[in-house]
Parts: sequence; structure tokens; C-alpha cells
Amino acid sequence: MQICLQIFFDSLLLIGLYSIGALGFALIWGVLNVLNIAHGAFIMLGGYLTFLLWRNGLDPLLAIPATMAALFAVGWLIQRFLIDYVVSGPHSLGIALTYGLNLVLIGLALYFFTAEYRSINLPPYLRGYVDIGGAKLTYVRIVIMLIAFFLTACVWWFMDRTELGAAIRATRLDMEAARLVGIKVRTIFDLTTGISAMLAGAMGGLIALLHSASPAMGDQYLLQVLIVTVLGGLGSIAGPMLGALVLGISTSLVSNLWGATYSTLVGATLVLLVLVLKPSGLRGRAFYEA
Amino acid sequence: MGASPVSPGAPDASALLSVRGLDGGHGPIQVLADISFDVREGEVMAIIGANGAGKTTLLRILSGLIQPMRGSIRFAGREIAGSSSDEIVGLGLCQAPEGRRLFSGLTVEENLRLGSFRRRDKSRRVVADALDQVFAYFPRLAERRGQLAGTMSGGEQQMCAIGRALMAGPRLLAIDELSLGLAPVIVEELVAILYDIHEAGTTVLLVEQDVSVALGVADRALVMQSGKIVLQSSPDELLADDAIIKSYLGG
Repeated sequence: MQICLQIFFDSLLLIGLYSIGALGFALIWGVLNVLNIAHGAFIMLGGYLTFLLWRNGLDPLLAIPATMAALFAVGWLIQRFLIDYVVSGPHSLGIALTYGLNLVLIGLALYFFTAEYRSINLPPYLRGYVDIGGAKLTYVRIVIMLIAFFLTACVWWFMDRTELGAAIRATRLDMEAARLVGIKVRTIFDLTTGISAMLAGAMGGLIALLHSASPAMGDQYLLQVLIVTVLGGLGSIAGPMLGALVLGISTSLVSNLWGATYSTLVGATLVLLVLVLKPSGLRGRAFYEA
Repeated sequence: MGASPVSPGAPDASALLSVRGLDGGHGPIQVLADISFDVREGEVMAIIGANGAGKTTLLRILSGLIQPMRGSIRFAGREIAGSSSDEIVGLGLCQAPEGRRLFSGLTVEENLRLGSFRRRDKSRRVVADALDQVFAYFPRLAERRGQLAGTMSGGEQQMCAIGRALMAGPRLLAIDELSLGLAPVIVEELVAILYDIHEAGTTVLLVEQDVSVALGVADRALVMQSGKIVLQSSPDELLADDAIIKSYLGG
């Protein structure tokens, strides 16, 4: 019973974190048709920014929205002045550019922060835990879960219920028709990348709260995000969330039953299975659906 | 006015759309050469011509999807050659493109609402009124407002495409291939609605391969061949002249 609950809570946490990371990643992939490797660096930037804001006296929970706002601007600018030049080019160009960008940003992080793990001392109100049927659930984990699920709901609402969200989906489906109704496609690209980076920043900030910030964290979580995206398929909000669900549950199952060492194997195994058995992803559909 | 070759002159200041000496094409390949014509406020102008005459290229240039190589396009008193699509839509030149080009994974209502994207006044009431107006023209769209646009029949999709263009409150509604791929009954229905839209005060530029459809609705018609305008006339005169129909339209 106790281990079942522990697995359940661990799963919820991972599902929340993977969801926001993968939603952002899938947005750029779907709308700009760019496989954004620098998403990892965005996650890392989010982690360090939250850490820095905390070290300068900001409450870590307030640092999260501030980090998101900053990462939104970073994403917007990086699209406008870098990615925009490769959007209509071949896939390899986009991958090469964002891979390079990722290396540069990781290099800068190593230079300014060294390879050391930077962790945040939680304020008193985040330190306790509740005991539910023998499973320990710390306050900080509860808060992270709530923030992650709240952000996921916000993305769904924005994409499904607002005119700008509809414009993003329209641009993804038919760029030229989008132009014909008067949508500025380039601005939609800027906005999409901004939102994507903002979500990556939130993921990074929450991970910094939970564990720590380090130069390697981006690549480590980019891998999870990639796995989630492959599992869930593109073109919907439900896709990445389903992927997050599958990876989150199986990872916490394996790490609770056999130890964390084996949990890194889970994602790779799942991806192999999906690629062999159902290459379009667990859900992969041609249309965008909310 | 007889069925005469077109001679360009100074832009007609009274016309809603005035094109002069327009050259254009795809990348380095020139398709259109020296296109000049006017569309007057309140008329239905048809552009007819065989497949490959450059009709769609012309509309794509008018909507700002491709930039012209040379020439002038004046719309509603402003030069729009070189303007971006969203500026052109904002001025009121809206297009229902060839092949409908609906957002197939969005619902009918979402497609229509996106038509109002560039409206200056996007208050709830204005958009709701526009939506009601479109549903009044096309009651079938009202029935299917929650359906994914890509799952409708060709005729319904054409209705949705015209409706989407109307949602911007256009001064000039350009329709590329109204009848293409549609059953004659549906085309008749669409033409009847097009009359209503025109009666309500919208100027219409209709690009058509089907001569009988085009000449049935139009006040004036242009005939295009190999990227040039070869004739400009009233439909009656065009229809009266078998030689013209045979030589330019393959009919």
C-alpha cells in the first residue's frame, strides 16, 4: 500500500514536469517545424535564473513567474534573430543551429557558474511534509505538482479557447491560409517560441527547487522531453500529456521497485517499443486537436 | 464598350482596385506580363481563362502572398504592391483561395472567427454580427459550426472559405475558382448566394475556369491567356462572339 502511494505521488510529480517541458517542445516542432535542441538550454537557463533570483533575496516561488517572463523574452528574441533564418530551410539546418546554440549556452553556464550543482535552500513554509498512508509527500513536491498542472491547464486554455491560440493552430495547419486571414506568421513564430521557452523555464525553475541547477540538467531533461514527445506524438496537447503520463508512471514504478539506476533505461526501452510497434506515436494524429 | 484589347493608362482614381503594368511570377519565373485593369466599387468582375493562364498567380500577388516584380496595385486609394498580406487584409481585400485552404483541424466556427483576425473593432458584438451574417448566407455552416472543417463536403468547405473571407468585412471579395470540383447544383446555390453578397454591397472579383458560371454573374469580364489580359468586355459581348470563346477559352 505504502509503495503504491509513493509510486502514485512520484508519478504525478514527473507527469507534471514532463508535461510542461514536452508541451513547449512540441509547440515549436509542430508550428515552426524545427526540432529545437536548445530547449534543453532553455530548461537549464530557467534553473539558473530561479537560483540567481533566490540568491538575490527573492522568494523561490515568486522566482518561478519571474523566470518564466524572462525566458519568454529570451525565446521571442532567439526566434526573431536566430531561428527565423532557418524556419523555411531543411530540418538539418534547424537542428544544427539549435544544437550549436545549446552548446554555447551550456558553455556559458559552465563559465559563469562552474559545473557545481547549485541548490536552493527552501523557505520554512516549503520544508514540511505530510504523511499519507506511510508515503512521505513533501510540501515542495505538492507545490511543484500544483504549479505544473496549473501551467498545463493554462496552455490548454490558451491554445483551445483564445483567438491567439486558434491563430497558432491555424498557422501550424496552413501557413499560407493563415496569411490570407491576416495573421502575421512571423509574429506567431515569435510568440510560439516565447511560450515554449517560458514553459521550459518553468520546468527548469521547478527542477532547481526540487533538486538543483547544473549545466548538465538541460540535456538530461531534454532527453526525457524527447522521449515524451516521441511517445505521445505531435499535433495535440493530449499527445505530450499522454507521453508524460506513460513515462512518468513507468519511471516511478521502476525506480521504486528496482532502484533509480534502472529508471533511466525505461524511457529508452519505451521509445524503442513505440518506434517498432507504432511509429506515429501512441496517439499520433494528422490533425491538431485540443 | 466593345470587345477590345486592353490599353493601360494612368490609374483610375475612382476605381476600388486599379492595377497597372503588373509583372510577377514564382521566384525567377515570370508568369504575368504587363497586367492592367480596374475593378470599380460595387461591380462583379470576372477573370476567365484556361488553366495556367496566370489567374491564381494574379490573385496571390493581389493578396500579398508573392511580391510583384514590377507595376502598381492601388486598392482603396493606397498603393499595396509590396505590402504584407495582413496589411492588405486589413484594408479590406480578402480572398477565398483556390482549393479552399480551410484550417482542416479547426472547427467551422473557429475557421470563421479567424476570418475576423485583422478587424480593427473585434468587440464581441461586431464579430457576433458578422458571424450571424455569414450563417444567414450559409445556414448549413450554422448547423455544422462545431464540426472539423476538413470533414465537410467540398461545397460546404467552399461556403466556409467564402464565409471566412466575409468575416473580415471585406470591401473586395476575391474568390479563386468558385466552382472547381463542385456539383452543378451546389455551384448554382453558391452563385445565388454570391448575388446576395454582392447586393449587400460587397465588390466581387471572381476568378473562374468555367466560362458559363463566370459570365452568368459578372458585370464585366477579363480574359487572360499566357499571363496577359487579352480581352476586357461585358459578358454579353463575350458570349455573343463564338470566335472569342473558341480561341481563348477552349470552349
